[in-house]
Formats: sequence, structure tokens, C-alpha cells
Amino acid sequence: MEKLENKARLKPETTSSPLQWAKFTTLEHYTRLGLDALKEGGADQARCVATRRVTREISAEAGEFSLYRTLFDDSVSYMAIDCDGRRGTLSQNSVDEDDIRAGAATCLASAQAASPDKDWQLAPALPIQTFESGPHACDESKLFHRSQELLAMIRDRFPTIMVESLTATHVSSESCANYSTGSRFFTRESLYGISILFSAHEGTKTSSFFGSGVQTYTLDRPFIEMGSLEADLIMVSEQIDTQPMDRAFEGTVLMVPDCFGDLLHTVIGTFASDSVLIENTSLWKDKLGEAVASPVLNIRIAPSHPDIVAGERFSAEGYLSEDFTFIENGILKQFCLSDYASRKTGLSRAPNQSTSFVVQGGDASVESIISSIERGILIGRVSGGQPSTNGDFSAVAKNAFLIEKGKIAHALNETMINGNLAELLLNVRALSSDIVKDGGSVLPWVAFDNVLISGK
Amino acid sequence: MLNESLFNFRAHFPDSGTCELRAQHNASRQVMLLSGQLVSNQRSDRKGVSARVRKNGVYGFSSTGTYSEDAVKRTLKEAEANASFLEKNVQPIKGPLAPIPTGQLLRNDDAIDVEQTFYIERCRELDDFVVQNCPELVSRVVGAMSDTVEKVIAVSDGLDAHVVTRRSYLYIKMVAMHPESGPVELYDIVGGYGTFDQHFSDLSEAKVKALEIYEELMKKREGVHPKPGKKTCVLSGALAGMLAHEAVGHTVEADLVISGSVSAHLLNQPVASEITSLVDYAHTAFGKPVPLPVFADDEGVTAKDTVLIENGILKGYMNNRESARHFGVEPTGHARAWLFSDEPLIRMRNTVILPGKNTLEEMLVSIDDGYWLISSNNGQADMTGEFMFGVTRGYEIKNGKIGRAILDTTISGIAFEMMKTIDMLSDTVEWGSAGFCGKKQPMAVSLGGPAVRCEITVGGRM
Repeated sequence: MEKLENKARLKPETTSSPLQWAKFTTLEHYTRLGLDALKEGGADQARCVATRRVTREISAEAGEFSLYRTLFDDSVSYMAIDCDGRRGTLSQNSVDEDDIRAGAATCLASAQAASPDKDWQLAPALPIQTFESGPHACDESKLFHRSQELLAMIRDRFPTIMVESLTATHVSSESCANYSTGSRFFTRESLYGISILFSAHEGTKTSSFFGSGVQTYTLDRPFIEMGSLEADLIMVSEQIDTQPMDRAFEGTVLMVPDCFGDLLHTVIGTFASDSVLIENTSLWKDKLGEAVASPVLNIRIAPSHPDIVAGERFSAEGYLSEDFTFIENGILKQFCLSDYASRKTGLSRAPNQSTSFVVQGGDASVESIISSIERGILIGRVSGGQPSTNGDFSAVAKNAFLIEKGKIAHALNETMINGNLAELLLNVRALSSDIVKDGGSVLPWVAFDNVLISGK
Repeated sequence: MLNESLFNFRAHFPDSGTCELRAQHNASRQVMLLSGQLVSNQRSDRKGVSARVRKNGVYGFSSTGTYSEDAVKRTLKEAEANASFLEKNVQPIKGPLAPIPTGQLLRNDDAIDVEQTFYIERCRELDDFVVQNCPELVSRVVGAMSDTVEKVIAVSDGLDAHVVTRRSYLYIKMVAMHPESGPVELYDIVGGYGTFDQHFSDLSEAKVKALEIYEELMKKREGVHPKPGKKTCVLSGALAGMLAHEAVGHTVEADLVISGSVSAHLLNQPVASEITSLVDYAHTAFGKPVPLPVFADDEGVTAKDTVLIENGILKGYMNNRESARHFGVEPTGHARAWLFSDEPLIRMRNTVILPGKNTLEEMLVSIDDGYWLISSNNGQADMTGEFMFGVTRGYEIKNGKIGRAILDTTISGIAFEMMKTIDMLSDTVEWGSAGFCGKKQPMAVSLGGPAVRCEITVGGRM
């Protein structure tokens, strides 16, 4: 009981208007229909979620506006668990009442075909929760003009850049998640997003392409001032003239924040996620509470951090999301496990299922980190697949520069990096004091020592 | 099955501009057993209607999940308003699209997918077989997936169509322990075009594949890291397909050409050795249906084969109607969308390097010091043609003989430099069709090729 009351105190702000409640009531009606059908059909535990989403998207190709889309999408998803733990899921985008009942029946049929597994469980009941964030109405004109302004700024300040594609969006969604336990979560969430894919050109010479973007609640600043857009455009502008790596050596790899974010996704998939811990193949399976990274590394997964836009509010099982520490001073504090995998492995459930990384920066600027590197490379992104189960990786360094004697020497092509992901994390040389906030994560530049760098 | 009432809604098209209406249903299944435990048991159904309207070279698009005459009218109105918004703000000066042949194409069927129980039972039977026959594993995954895409398309200019594409697969992943490197894994896929029961009422092929994976994994757990650097290699047909799709195909998609891909400057120039030709087939190749046939695209264009490289010379790009207008060529049916709510983009279909005259054995014997690279788990390429493929299965070749298995590595190169080093092609094409190509939206594509002998950069350890 004490735990329930504690959770209740986490309830966010109350919802705003009678009109909004009317919309929620419609969605709740759909979920009640679905939930009742699941329970009447034999589900012991069930969840039904109804969502209404409107997406507005303005696109440009090759630097010219070409397409404006509006998407109206209603959807219902179901999850049913019978008394023996047989579980099935279904998602559909029809909210007709007959279709909802039919969807529930199909979900139950899937569940009945499954094997019994008592580890599928819903979270205990919680009081009603409502979550609201972002501007529900799209300022269509401002979104277009901010996009137009970005293309104009790029043409003016970065004349060699070709924007292959620009996508500016406003996504507005309302949902009701209704659980057989009695938990009900109402969400109204809206956000703007901008993403560009671009490369630099001069005559027949071309840089590698690069993608950059941000998520935001407001359009009060030019897009180019957000996230790392400006820094990324500067970086790619200087990558038209590339030279191949002509030697192999062990050196330092400095990753830009977005590249480091991708690396963290890979780290979790390889060492800390459901499948590798259920399979018992993770190199970190016995490392909880032990050093898995250099002591300078502190990583939180924090969807409620003020710089995260539209972070996760609750899990599929019905737990409220809470921020947690993944790695503290290099020590593994928590695996990124779902409730199901937690029961399967006997390890604790992660307090949220997101990848809203918030990494503590260091003391040095990016410039001073570069000046401390005797021999290495700066990498904008990595082109490579999932590392082996044992952490071995081999990948192409894209949008890269050679660093020699503390200075950027020239841009690179055909450069590979090879190593082991687990060893890489133990070789963090420095984290920058400069931080990039793109709405999805809060990340510094990170330098790793002892990486095999090779060319042709 | 979707009804064809959409064909009757053309009366609601706007008075001016080019217009497309599309009703679409995507259905997918996914089942996964992780070391015998059912960790995924999912179905998904997405259906609805979309409209796209072109005004003076800019497009408006809208979609909704309801398929009715009223919904079509609202969606058309919204799409037209969106096109007008852009037209007003951008003031484009592009002219009309060139007319294309009109008609009607009906290639739907009434196949019904089997119940979810059938998917789970097939996975269980295959998983039991793996347990009984593959004793040295530390972990295993057996999974099933299928997707069905049905479209009814009505266009103001072009081919009205009703088409269905179905594909179904079983996949098997096995993990064993390497004495020094720790866990090593291999996976493979069986299946192809058609419904799940058409492929897997009998699991013989899947069981043979499971034994093959296990045998290869036992060699890989004794494997070594390859030596990094440029090597003479034989790439399997699967890897040649990756080369065709990732390294070359994307650089000759006309939207990327217009944005400045490396191919923009290479039309009618040599980009590969003279024995190398590359084609994106629509529905038939080498006298047989291709793995994922396309007869009409989502702009109402009749699908035809597109020759991309002929005897080493870059001969053409893949276009939609807009880019075909830009380049002054005929569109050949590449504009495809994945969901009803997606707009058509320029996509590949069945992209393949044409076979040569050598046998695989001749090619392997010809190498003194190199690698035979067989399976890949992913591939990526750049506007520059620089590419990377993950290699999960391969062998050393020493003095023409197959040596030790190698551990996972990456190969890379610059497509139009590397392809000039191709000097032998096998006489047999290997196709793959289970993957998705990612370009804003996913898309089912097939790719293939013969075994290829070439010079390529291999990652590895010193």
C-alpha cells in the first residue's frame, strides 16, 4: 500500500480542458471495448491501447520543397495473457467497434497458440495517470518558414552543401492505455522535429553523406542553432577532399556525440539487453556491480530529464518510467531489462525501457582533447553492423579526419576501425565539456584509446 | 481482400494536376523462440487509403485508416490543400509530367494466411530438431515471419492496378563458444515468395539448412581473425547481391543522383570490368519469375527491367515519373510505398549482377592467398559509392585450397573502383529476398548475383 501511494505522488500535471477529456473519453471507450472483449474471451491479464495521431510533414529534396503530407492515424493494440501465461499481441489501425472486437478475438487466438509462461505479468494497479507535453496545434506556417530559413542559411553559409532531404514534422498524439489491473494512463504528446541528410560537393568530388536532426517543443529559435546541426554542416563541408588511410596503427578514436549515442545503443544490444541475458551469452552477465568501463564514464537513462523531448512515461507492462543510472564511475549499476526478462533472469527490471541517454561530460573542450591526441582519428559516424556476441567489431569510419600531433591533418576515406566493444569502453581517454542536446539524448564527444585503425 | 471500389472514386479527383489514390493493407506475423521460449508472438494489420496530388511540380499527400467514399473525398481534399500550400509558398515552375500508358492490371489472389498456431508449431518442430541434432550450442533462435502487401491503385494518368505480394520465412540462429573469443554465431534464412503454409508445410528444407548452419558454426568456433588489408577474394552470390543493391543500386537511384551521388558524373562511363553487367528486374529474369515480382508501381507506371550497368558501362538510373521528367527518359516502375500512409519513393526491386562463365571451383582454385566470403548480416553504402558489408561466414584460401574458417569481419571499398577489379563471375545466380531496404520507409526487395572474384579491403586483426 505504501508503494502505491508513493507512485500516486508521481502523478504529473492534470489535463487541461473539457474538450481534451472528451477526446480521451472516446479513446477510453475504444480501450474498454477491447479490454472487455479480451477478458470475456478468457484473458486473465490484458492491455488495450488506443491512439489517435496526426502527423504533418513538410519535405524538401535536393534543396527544393517537394511534398507536404498530413497523416491521420488511429490505432488499437492488444495484449492478452491467459491464466497459464500464454501471451499474444496484436496491433491494428481500425477503430470500428466490430473491428475492435474482432481484433481482440485474433489476439486471444494468438495467445491460445502460445506456450504457457508464467513470467509474462502486468504491473500492479496504479491510480489514473495523465501526461501532457508539447504544443498540440501545429504552427504550419512557422514550421515551413523555419525550414525555409534553414535551407537559405545552408545555401548562404555552406555553399558546397547539398541537402539531399529535409523533413520537418509536427506529430500530435493522444492515447489511452487501459489495463485489466485497473491502471489507466492518458497521454497527450506533441513535438516538432527536423532532420536533414546532406553531403558536400565540389565539381565531381563528393563527401560522405551525413544526417543531423533535433526534436523540440518550440519553434522559437532557428533550427541551425539546435542540436549539432551547425557543427555537423561545418564538419561535412571540410570533407570534400579526402585521402585514404595508408597505414595501420593503434591510436585514439574521438567520436562526435551522435556517433557515441549509436555506440551506446550497440553496447546495450550486445551486453545489457533482454535477448543476450536470457540467452546467457552476454560478456557482462556476471558484471553487475563491477567495472565495465573507465571510471570517467557516467551514463544515465533519463526520459524525464528536462532536455529530453517526449520521453517515455510508462512501460508496456504498466510501470511508471523512472530515470536510472546505467553506468556510474565505470561500474555497471543496472541492466536494461524488461519486466519479462527480469523474471526470466532473476536480475532487476530496468526502471524504464527507453534509450534517453544522459552522459556526464568531462573537463576538457573538444579542441583540447584533439590537441592531446598524438595519433588518431575523429569520426562523425560508423558504418558497421552489430558486433559479434563476444564484442568484436570491424567497421568503416565515415565522415572522419586524421589527427596527428594534436591537430586535424586531413579528411579520410576507406578507413576501418577494429577492436572489441567491451575493451573499448575500458579505454575511455576523455569526455568533452561540450555537450549536444538534440531532444533525444544529452551527450559529449568521447575519445577512446588503443583502437586498431587501418586503411587499404 | 480489398474491394476495388477505389476505381470508381476517380470521379472525385481534382480538376487539374496529376492524382493518385491508393487503398492498401499490410499484414505481418512474427514468432520467435529464444532457446525454446516463445518471446515474440505478434500480428500486425495496417490498412487505409492515401491520396497524392501534384500541382506544378510540388506534391500534397494525405492518408487515413478508413476505406470509404467519404474518407477518399476528405483525403483527396486534404492532399489538394497541401499541394496548394506548397505551390503558394514555393511557386514552382515545373511543367506537367509526360503521359504514360493507361490501362488496368489485376494480379490479386484470394489466398488466406494460416492461423498463428501454425507458425508457432512450425517453429517448435524446427527448434526440437535443432535441440536433437545440434548438441554443442549455448543458445539458439528459431523465428518465423511473413508479410503480405495488397494494393488497389487508381491514377489520373497511367495504370489502375490491384496487386498482392506475399513472402514468408523461417530463420535460424545458433550460438557456440569459441575457446578464446567467447560466443560466436551464425544464422540463415529459408523461404521466399508465397504464404507461410506454401513454404513450410514440410520442414525438410529448413532442417537441411539447420544442419548446414551447425556444421559451419562448428568450424567457425575454431576460426581465426582475418588479416586486415586489400585481398583477392571470392564473394558468394549473396554478397554479390549486397554489392549490387547497396554499393551500386543506391547510387543510381535518380533522386540520389539529383542530390549529387557519385553516379551523377558517370553515365556512359566505365564503372566496372567489361564482364560485369547489372540489372534491376521487374518480374522475370533468366526465364523465371524473380523472387519479388513488381508489375506496376504506385504511380501507375508499367514495371519494366532497368539496365544499370552493361559490360562495365553505366547505362542508366532508376526513376519515378518526376525524375524521369528531369532526365528526359521513360519511367520503368520504381516508385513504391511500404504502407498506405507512405508516399512512393524510388526503390529497387530485384537487383542482380548477371552471371558469367566460370564455376565456383575454378574461382577458388585460382586464389593463392585470399578469402572466400559467404554470408553477410548487413550492408551500408554512401553517396560516394564507399560501402561496407558485415561478413559472418568465410574461409581462408591458401594456394587454391580452402583453409580455416574466419571470425566475423567487415569488407569495404569504393564500388566503382572495386568493380573494375572483377575478373571472374560464376555461372550461377544466388537470390535473397528476406530483408528490408531502408530509405525513409522500409521496403521488401530482392537482390542477387553470381560468385564474384575481386580485390577488396578486409577488416580484421594484425
